[in-house]
Amino acid sequence: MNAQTMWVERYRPRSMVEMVGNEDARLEAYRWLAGFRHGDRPLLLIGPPGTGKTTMAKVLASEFGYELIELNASDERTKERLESLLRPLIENANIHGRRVLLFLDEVDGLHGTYDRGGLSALLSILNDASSVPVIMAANSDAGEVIKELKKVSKVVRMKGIPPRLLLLYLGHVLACEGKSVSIGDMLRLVIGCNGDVRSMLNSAQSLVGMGVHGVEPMGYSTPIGSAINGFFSSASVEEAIDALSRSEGSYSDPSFGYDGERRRLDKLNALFSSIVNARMDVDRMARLLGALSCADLLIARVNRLRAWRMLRYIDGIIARSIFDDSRGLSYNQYDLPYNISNRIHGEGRMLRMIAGMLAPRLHESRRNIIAYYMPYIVHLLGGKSKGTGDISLDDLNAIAKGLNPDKRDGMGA
Amino acid sequence: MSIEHLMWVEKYRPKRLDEVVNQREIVEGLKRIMGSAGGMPNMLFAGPAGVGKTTVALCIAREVLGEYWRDYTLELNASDERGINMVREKVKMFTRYTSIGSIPFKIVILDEADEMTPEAQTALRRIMEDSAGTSRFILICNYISQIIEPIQSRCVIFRFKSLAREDVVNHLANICRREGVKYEDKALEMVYEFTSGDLRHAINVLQAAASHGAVNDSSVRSALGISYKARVGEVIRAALEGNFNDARLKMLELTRVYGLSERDFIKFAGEEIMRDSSSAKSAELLRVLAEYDYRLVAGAHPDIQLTALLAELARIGKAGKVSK
Repeated sequence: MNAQTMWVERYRPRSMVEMVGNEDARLEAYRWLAGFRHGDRPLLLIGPPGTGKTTMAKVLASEFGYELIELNASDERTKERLESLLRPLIENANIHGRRVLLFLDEVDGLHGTYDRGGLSALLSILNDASSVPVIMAANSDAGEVIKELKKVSKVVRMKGIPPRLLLLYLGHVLACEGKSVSIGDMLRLVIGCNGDVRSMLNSAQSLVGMGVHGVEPMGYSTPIGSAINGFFSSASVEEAIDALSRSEGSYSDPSFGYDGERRRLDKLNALFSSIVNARMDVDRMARLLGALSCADLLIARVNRLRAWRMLRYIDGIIARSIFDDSRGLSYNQYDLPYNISNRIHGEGRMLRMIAGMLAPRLHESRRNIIAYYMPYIVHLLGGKSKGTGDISLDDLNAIAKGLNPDKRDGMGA
Repeated sequence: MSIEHLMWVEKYRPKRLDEVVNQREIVEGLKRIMGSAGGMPNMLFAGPAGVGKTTVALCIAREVLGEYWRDYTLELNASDERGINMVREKVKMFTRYTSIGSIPFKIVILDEADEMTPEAQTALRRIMEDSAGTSRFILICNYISQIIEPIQSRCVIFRFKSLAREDVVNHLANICRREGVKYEDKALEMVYEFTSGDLRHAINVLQAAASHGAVNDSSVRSALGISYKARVGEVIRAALEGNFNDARLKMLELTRVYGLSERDFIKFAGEEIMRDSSSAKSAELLRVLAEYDYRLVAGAHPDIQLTALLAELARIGKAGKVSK
């Protein structure tokens, strides 16, 4: 996908009036440049990502006939580099009849180590009276760099774009593209982007690009049960992906443990519990579970890298890899047979408690206590359980009582 | 009777370095280093399970700190609390102040340090430096490669070896004599085979066997039968016979009710497959097992991974039956 096909580029406003939101800031910046005279202070735009800082610099330059020279965080910004690049510009800007506007993006990213001396060089350049207007952009107020720059600049703040405007704008872009998504998806895009136009357009484009078309107006999401059932009964892969993506569930990260509520809202778990309890031959079961196992790897990687945008592939991957084998299944929210889940809350809870009490006294981890001690301890201490290897709840209660911490008189004595 | 006296592992845990089973080189190295002018350095003990790493650390604490060693020793297990908060809070608090009295320093014994996240290890490294005036650290791990370099370079490293067969068997025989329990040499060999050099596990099996009156073929078999390793073996066999549902129920009982960690499940499964299967097939099974071991560590949903493993084993088992 080249830059022209990216919606954020294609719909980047060409003039001030095409921009969305931040009316006051726009007016202020417009006035600053319109009245700019030799020696005026630079403009510092502060605002969260996607609120139009870069767009504003570009639009201002083009409306007033300046040539825009841009320097951002991807450029090395050491003292030497800034001096050699900016000095000639600032001092000789008008000699050859060029009118230059300097745009320093992401100034809060000036790095203490890699951009050594960059801040002081920048401040000294900015302090020299010049006829070159300078616009700087930063995401937040935080940090030493911004504190210093604020002292020498005219500060204009940009705010997140309100949902009402985002919705209008999204509708406009979709209409221009001749695409439609459901009103539920539109609302989700608008609310999910946190006032960031760029992120909203990117998400909208990937949603449309994946072949998901909203047909009828609907709410935010489908309950997980009907989403999974919709998935199992879809006639085509596209429909199946659609059903999954509408689910109120998500691909959450269970590795730190989660409660029953979130467990039910975990899409991968919902597919797993439905599949594993269905009757089928082992070949088909192995294929289905193998596919879920691969999807789980991907989910873990997304969680680890915090690369949430990668999540958008997972519906598609799962749907394509299990579509054929999963026709005719139905949603089942219980991944554990009743007697097992009952025992988890009974014996399981007691065993975990006992392991926790034993671990420090036997100089072991709870995990090792379970793997290398527990069956033998139960055997030695268990009454009715003795010799069978199975554990009765009464015995466990007796063992826990016997482990009264007051009785500690171990090896130090 | 307290659990410390009940469990032979604890009852017969060596109290002095001289009593430690067959880690002679390590013990001599330790004595040299602790007697030297610099005194005790921070140390890193690496080696397989059940060869005496924790025991040696406890012996050192007792010998250096004397009668009230417990008061000046912080024992932590990183496998239970792996995060950075454990290091920050517990270790920092413990090492913050100099101790009153005649002890030279406090001792932190951090077991299974290779389970710590790299971030927690980095935090620990700082604390080790900052508390050099008050404390010494003994870090214990299975795999030294999982310990970050800066910590390795700040510790004297001791590599513990696996215990020799006759050392384990002699030690077990010795315990039997002191407990007045009759034993057969063959039965002790069986215990060694089953526990693959892990003395701690071997003593627990021995004690369970001895509870039947004597350590002989039948009592050892019955003790091995109740071990989770043997029960994991049953799960694998059920899967390989194509009984996916049966295997899954047994697996859930072990992991969810008894709380056996998924990683120990896979570890025991590997040991059972190596012991059990014909060579050609076991190579394929081990490949599958290795793949799912990786997925278990790298994945997010352990239940899904273990269940998918069983389904895969069931598929292989069924295919094997058809081709016969």
